[in-house]
Amino acid sequence: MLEVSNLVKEYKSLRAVDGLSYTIQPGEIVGLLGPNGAGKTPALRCVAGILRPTFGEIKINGFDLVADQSRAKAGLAFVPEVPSLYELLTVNEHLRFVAMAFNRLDLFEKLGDDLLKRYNLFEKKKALVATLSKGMKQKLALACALIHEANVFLLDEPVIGIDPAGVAQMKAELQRARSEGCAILVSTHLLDTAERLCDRVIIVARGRKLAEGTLAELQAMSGMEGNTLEQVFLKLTEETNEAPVVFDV
Amino acid sequence: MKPLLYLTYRTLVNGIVRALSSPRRLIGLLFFTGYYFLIFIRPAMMPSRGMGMPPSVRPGQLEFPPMQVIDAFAFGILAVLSLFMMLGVMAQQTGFKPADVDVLFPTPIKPRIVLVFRMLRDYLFTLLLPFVIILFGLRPAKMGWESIFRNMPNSDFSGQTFRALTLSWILMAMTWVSITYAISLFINRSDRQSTRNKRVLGWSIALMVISTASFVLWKSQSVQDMSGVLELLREPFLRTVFFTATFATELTLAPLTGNIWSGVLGGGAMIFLIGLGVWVAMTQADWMYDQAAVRGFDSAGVRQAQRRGDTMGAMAEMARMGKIKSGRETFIHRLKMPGPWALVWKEFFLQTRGMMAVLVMLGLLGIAFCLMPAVITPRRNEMGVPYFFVLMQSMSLFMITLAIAQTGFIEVLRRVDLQKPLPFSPMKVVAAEVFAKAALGIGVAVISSLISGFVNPSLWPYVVATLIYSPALALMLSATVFLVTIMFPDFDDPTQRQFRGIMMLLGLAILGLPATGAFLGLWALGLPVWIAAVVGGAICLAMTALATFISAKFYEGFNPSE
Repeated sequence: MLEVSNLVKEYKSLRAVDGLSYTIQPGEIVGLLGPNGAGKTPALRCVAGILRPTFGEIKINGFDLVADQSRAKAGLAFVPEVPSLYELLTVNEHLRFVAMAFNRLDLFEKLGDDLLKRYNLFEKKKALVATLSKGMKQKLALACALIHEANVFLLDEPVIGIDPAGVAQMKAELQRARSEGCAILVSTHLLDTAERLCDRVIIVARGRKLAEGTLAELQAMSGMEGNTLEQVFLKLTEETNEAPVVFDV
Repeated sequence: MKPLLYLTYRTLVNGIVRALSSPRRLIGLLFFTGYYFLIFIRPAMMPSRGMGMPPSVRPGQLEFPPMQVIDAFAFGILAVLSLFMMLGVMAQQTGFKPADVDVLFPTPIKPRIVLVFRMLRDYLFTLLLPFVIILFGLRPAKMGWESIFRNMPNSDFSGQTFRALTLSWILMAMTWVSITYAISLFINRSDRQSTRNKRVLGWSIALMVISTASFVLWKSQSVQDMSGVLELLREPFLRTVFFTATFATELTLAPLTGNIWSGVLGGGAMIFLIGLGVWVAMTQADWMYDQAAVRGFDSAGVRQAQRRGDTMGAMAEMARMGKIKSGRETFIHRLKMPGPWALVWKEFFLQTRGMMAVLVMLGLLGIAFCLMPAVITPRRNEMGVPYFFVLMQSMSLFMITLAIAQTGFIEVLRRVDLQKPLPFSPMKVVAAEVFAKAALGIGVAVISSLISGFVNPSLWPYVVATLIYSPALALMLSATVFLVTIMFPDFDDPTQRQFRGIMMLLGLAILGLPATGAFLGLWALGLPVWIAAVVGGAICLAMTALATFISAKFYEGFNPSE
């Protein structure tokens, strides 16, 4: 389970994330939606333990991410939007390194080859990551996220750059993880994907949470019953679209 | 620690294997290993010529200097070394790669372990420096070192002092690694408090540097002789400012002075500072990932682009970070250049915006080069001046065209996805690019030739010849560079850059020799120089056409993702 309370992230004078709170229960996929520069990526990176929150509390499986970092991160998997991988490791070594870092070499021995086969990377097992295409790197990043049997997943634009078969596979993978009781947070711009995949969505703009709920709840909140998520999203974010805050971390 | 060791080991091994994996990389590697061996290693390994020296300058005849001199000398050297290390304390020390941010940071490995690992790695690099010095310079250094101690009562002093000096250097370097990590992590946090801390520290260091420089200047006015210099180096103010050098000097000289306790004190103080630095760094370890993600990662794009040799990419990154502002509108904006000429316009734009300072410098240097013979001639009416004039023109053209073309054509291949869909044939694209890269060289050659003619009218026949020959030569050089670049286009691989450099020399020799040979040959045979220039220029143009044609064929099938 993932609990985020009053998360604030400041860079000097810029407040990128401003008091974000949410909870993701086991067996739930939640979409984090927002316009460009809304603060989705910093919010995700704070939860992944990459950025240090300025204020607020993040608990992963009951462990505080700041006070008990190792135990909190043990159940966490993070897939960045454009993953930067170790170019001079082979595909197999990369997977092995991640398993070692999570102290789950046993799972690497058990699942490694299957995962590589599932993502069509088995043939490239001994190839250097530097030689992989963008889509293959994305698939390897996903395989790395699955190698240590995490139960909290953070995915930043997970389907961008992957072929249609890969997208279908990714969706199936997320649904399988949900059925196994994993808590999943997906940041995306693809509203139709979010509508079909997510149980709930959180809409953020300028670092703040604008709305949270199921599609029906959001429709009711915005007075747009019967409309698509896209229309609801545009309605809710229209006031904040005029002067977007731009940052990139 | 085990995963980090695994990562480092595999990365190193795979890097070496990759460097040896293809003939191209291997040739590049061999070329550079051979180059460094011949320049640096071989001279150090050659038998010493010291025995051949006249007896008066043989190292064995050196007298042991007084202790004050040794003390001042050791302190001076160590102070200069510590000054260099001190200047780096404000810089960010994380040195993380984007892959560390995306892969390593979300793992449960504690930041403190990662920090300790990185510090140990830096300590190791610090230790490697004396090792490299010893490896390559031991033989000559040992002779000189031992000769200083020849007149000492105890011959073992030499070895003891050498060991103490090595230990001092290691401890001092480790002290600065620790201090640098501690300060860097403390002042580069993303919170507001650290901005203030950074400002305070920056001003403190500036104040210290200014006061030290002022003190040295003030004191040096009263320095009359060597004893004055020694006195200055013993000043308590300097000994305090360069405190690590003071500690290291005490440790180094302990075997000579016999004052073991002062050596122990010096070494102990440095060990204490190392411990203090490590402790402070550890208290800031939880900020380390944040710093790397926010700042290090931000500038990683620039570093990555620079490493790849992607000049324009690096500049684009800097512009994105707000470090480069867009220039004012110039006459180039208003030029109307339709069709393939738009590519030439684009090139003028990129060159003036991206490398204006370099271009101005190259242009001025080129003109200065070419004017040298013209200015010299009136004073010395030498027979060789026309040859000198033509040589300078060619050198300047070579320098300017190669500087622009090498970066520019890699840029063309990087942005091939933008240019390929344009409605021109590959031949037109390549021809336009070849011309665009040669234009500045031609411009400089024309201007400098004309000025030279006006400054020294006796040079006019040669000015006419260079006006004929230079444009063709510049085009030939530019076309050759493009041909070699597109034949070996693995521009993201540093090892390929070396290989391409070798191939570039080969290509220039093959395509350039016929024209140069014809030009010089006909001129030497006594034909009017303009005829030699016409023939040489025609051959250059023929070579340009050939290289452009072959390049266009390569360009047609070029796929950057292959």
